[in-house]
Amino acid sequence: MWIRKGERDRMLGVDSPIPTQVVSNEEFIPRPQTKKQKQVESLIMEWGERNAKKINMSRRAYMASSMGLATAFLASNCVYGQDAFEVGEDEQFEPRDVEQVKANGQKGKFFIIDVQAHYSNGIALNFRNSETARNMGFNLKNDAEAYSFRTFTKEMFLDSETAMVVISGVPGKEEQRAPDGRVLEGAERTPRGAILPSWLMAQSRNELNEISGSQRALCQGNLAPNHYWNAATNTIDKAATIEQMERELNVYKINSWKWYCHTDPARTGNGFQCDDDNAQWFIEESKKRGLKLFSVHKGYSYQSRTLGHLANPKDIEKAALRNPDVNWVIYHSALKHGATDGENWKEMNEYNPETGDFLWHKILMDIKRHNPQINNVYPEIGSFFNTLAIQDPVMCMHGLGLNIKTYGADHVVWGTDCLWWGSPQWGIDALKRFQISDELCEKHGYAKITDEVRAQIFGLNAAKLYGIDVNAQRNALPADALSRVKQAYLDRGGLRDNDYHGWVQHA
Amino acid sequence: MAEPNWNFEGEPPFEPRTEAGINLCAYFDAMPDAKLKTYDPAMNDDALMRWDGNFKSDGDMLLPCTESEEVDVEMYRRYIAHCIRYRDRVRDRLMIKT
Repeated sequence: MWIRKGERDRMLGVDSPIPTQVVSNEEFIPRPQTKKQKQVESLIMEWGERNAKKINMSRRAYMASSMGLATAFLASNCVYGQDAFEVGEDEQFEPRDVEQVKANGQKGKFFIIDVQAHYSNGIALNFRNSETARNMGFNLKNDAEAYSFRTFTKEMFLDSETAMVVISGVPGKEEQRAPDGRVLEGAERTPRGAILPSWLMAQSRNELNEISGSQRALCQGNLAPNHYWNAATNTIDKAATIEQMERELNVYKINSWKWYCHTDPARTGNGFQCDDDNAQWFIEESKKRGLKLFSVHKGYSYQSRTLGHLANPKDIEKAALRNPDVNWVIYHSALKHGATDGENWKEMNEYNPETGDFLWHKILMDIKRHNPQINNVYPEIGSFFNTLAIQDPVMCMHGLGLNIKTYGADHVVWGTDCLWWGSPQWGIDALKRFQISDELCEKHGYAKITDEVRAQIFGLNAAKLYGIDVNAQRNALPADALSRVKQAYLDRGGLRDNDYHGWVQHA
Repeated sequence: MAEPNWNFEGEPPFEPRTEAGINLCAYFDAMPDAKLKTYDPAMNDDALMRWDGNFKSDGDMLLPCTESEEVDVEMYRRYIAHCIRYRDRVRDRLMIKT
């Protein structure tokens, strides 16, 4: 049985500022907690309890504080022995504004845009009120809420430093017309329910921006070349595809496409590739209409012979070369998972500690190595950096080091895959403190991660891709309604919940 | 004993094939024959979920990258029944190859 990490933690009395094992975003089978992760968890609980008592705080408040986060990173350094996180012992007891210190008093240095933020439309994720679920003793009423818009807003904006989000799609097509030919609108377009259809992403983006009185959210559109299909001829239905494309561009005003090549919403029996004829036709039609930003899920996949291989990033090479005026954001930096990952997951991913390469990240890196002229491919690090940071900090050093070395610090893009990982603040703090060891820098030619690099990754690169004026936003956002709500929330003692919504094994 | 190279996924679909169906076939192709042989269609839903081990607390299956739809117990039962028939049909032939 798989349960949400937050439920697992509550059952065991664990309250940790960082996840103490990898959670599944439903794109891979959750791995068991490793021995080292268990050690990290034990240290966090032991030290957190002790530290909270020492400074007369409740454990809950301590674990939600920056001191709690510092304790967690110290625990990770202690267990993995690599000092991957730059953190001082004193930070366990003295709240220190890391950003202020690192930026020499220039607070608010990092402008954070999360290009991979997900939530559901409040449906209970197809919750079935099964006997097992009823008897497990969980408060399952929270399940739907955990992904709802209100929780999304709280955890993304009130509980984290994220300034802007890109509401990122999950595959699913919209029904276009009723049987009588009437054009469907809103929820009518997804009559069987859908987690995050294009119409809802646009609606939620507008709602967030209207509430804020500023631009806090952008959104993606789910349309892809295999959504509308002529079953009789087994070919793409171009008329229906164009109709939907124009709707997503002109009505929803989406900011990027989000493609999942290995999925099959139209039940064609197959997926597609970014370099195939239908994709190229789609790209041309999109370019004609002015949208040249394509976000593509690559990596996490399944063992299906028919569909699984389509998440391999190999097709990006030809697509990027053929369309130099299109930007390609490659989600998860193409990190692959086997279907039966256990303690041997690194071997299954063909991780080579000598080179730092692993599946299918190496293929993404090779594309640039073989084609240095490619300048329109951007590795995104949602469920890549956060996964590797808590699974194996050294592998994380390689992953991030290779992304920066190969594609350039101006091409690595921040995303988190939250809310699967709860509030993204722990990941933000992790990147602020994450460093590549001298040994690996020397051996592999990686550069140290500077604050300039962090600023690019956190938001400046995404701002360029999405046409965001960061300076204008820096002036506008502190005065907007969401900032005022956040201040009031913090003044009233609002605390981040260390509640992770992704799945783990229920022992 | 090594598992034969099962290919239920490659069989002609017994119902309109969906992304979830394709992935579910692949899931059963990875299930050891010895495990599959212990499947009892008379198990109630909760027993089936425990037997399989890959259901979530919300009652659906955690079938990775099945993004467009969920796999519930009913769908699971349909597919495993056909998978058992498939294996009964090809087992002897594939075992010889293995």
